[in-house]
Amino acid sequence: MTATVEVSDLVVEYRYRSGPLGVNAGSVRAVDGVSFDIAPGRTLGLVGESGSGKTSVARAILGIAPIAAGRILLRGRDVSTATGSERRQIRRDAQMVFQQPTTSLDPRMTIGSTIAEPLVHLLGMRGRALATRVSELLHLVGLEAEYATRRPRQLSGGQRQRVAIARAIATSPSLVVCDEPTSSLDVSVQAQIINLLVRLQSELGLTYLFISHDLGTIRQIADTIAVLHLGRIVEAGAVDKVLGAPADDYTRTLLAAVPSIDRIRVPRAAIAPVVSA
Amino acid sequence: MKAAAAIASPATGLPAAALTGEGIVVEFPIATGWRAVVRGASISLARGEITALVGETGSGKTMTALALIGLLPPTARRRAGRITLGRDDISRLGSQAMSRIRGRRISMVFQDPMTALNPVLTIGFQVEEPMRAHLGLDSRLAHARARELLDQLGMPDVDRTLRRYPHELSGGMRQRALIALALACDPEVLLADEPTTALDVTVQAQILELLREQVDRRGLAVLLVTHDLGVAAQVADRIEVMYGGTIVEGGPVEQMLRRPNHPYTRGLVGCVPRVDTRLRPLPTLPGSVQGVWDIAAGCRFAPRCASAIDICRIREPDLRAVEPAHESACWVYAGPPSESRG
Repeated sequence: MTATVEVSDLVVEYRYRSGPLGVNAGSVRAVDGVSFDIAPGRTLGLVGESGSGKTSVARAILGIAPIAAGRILLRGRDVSTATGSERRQIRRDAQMVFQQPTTSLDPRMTIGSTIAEPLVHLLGMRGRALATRVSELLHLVGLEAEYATRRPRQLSGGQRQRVAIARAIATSPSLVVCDEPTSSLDVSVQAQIINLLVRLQSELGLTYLFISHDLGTIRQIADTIAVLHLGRIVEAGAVDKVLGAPADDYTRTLLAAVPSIDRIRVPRAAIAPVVSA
Repeated sequence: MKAAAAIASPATGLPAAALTGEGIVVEFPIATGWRAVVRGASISLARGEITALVGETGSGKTMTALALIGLLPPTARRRAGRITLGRDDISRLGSQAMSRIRGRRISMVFQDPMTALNPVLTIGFQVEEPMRAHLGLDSRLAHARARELLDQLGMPDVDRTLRRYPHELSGGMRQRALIALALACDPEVLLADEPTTALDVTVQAQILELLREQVDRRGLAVLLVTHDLGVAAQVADRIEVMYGGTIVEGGPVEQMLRRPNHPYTRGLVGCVPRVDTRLRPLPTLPGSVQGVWDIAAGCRFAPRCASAIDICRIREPDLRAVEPAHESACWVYAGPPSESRG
């Protein structure tokens, strides 16, 4: 079976101008030769710290970051050279869930019209069919149909993220890019959202690119993992293997730095003093 | 309860706790009157210890910290409670008297160093300012101490950093500068509100390590406000868990994480995603904190609690000892109400 996403030797560069009249121009290489693929119905966890290039990789796949070199195939279709109708097809086929549901949802729009937007613009749905699909999507993410008439501010953070997920899966995409979808949520709500994403994946056969700096979350959701550092993948493989026995120094540093509730600090007083003879 | 602050350690003659807050109530105006977002929280910070105050959004943890240092937002009011710093009752001090104490005996570090630091003043000026204002040091002495502090906090290229502005530093460097500023006058108590939440994990680990080192070296008492139990496990001596404006459980870090008593703490510990095991589905806490302020009686956690019994919806439980130095407020797990009480 062909991969849902195939990324080969991807380079993303941002141009900048600074100084008087922009005399200092140049470019920053955010992603420097990244390759991976994700099999249908699987999840790749993309891990890295700020500035590692993880969000740039995601944006390049969705066609919203400047691709300087390399190739991205989305179900065999080349994202970098897509034009017109192909681009519309890509929009339907790859969607994104952002970190902050507070800013990714329009505060003036009702939940119903927020979810309907991609259905109207990308699939041309209207009338009865549209309303039915919206309540079906609300049901899928565990919200009652009456939420359609509410606005984002009437919802809790977890409920807002459910709405963002409903909107992302509205056009039945094959790929959903999740950019830190749980990191702005409370611990008790994080687990609910992870479970929802796992359930939707098995019900709808979704493929996920899951970006996070939280290795615990990645462990729960991902099948494979790629560790990004300064724009390059330093280690990749099956999630249990990479997190269980990391081969790369940077992965080890990252793992050691993650605060774990299973690694409790030994209080000073509990360390027996060394008695000299 | 009242005696807690008066118990003196026999060796030093100083009170055992550096800071105690008892029965703190913080209220905000709403259309129909006042709403209490902190409903009688008591907390005691021991010298040389880090106490983690853990809770989810809107639990009242930040307001508790702000009440302790007298920095509540202007619309809020603290209605009750006694705050003791060392031997001194500071609960009735006016804003002038508080500002003489703040920064000298009790300091605070905020989540976002970019908004806490003044963007138009150099790092050096800002770290030296409290030493000139509170300790009356001249600029030469203040400068020398600022250098020493930043050096202790692992700041590279100290001389150059002192001349720089906040926007020229990375997030981790800014947080170091903010901690240096807070420690400049060698305070007894440091309140830190999510000091590492905005940072990358590797930088977070360094900052937490530094904080721990300062606590061990100076005998500083720290209140670390965090939503991350992993952070608490890594640096804290004690954990206090807040829910719906009160502390529902508190105890030594190991007991709290290995043998949590309160159903809310159990739920929180259970739903943290672990790096070493995959659980499908992940255990969850049902419901959300939304609506917690509309509950008029009983335990605030009862609507989300699988173990709740009749009494939980009628009377709010008090904190009871469940192990040495470990208290929990739960009718089911910490003991039923006794007839003589409440």
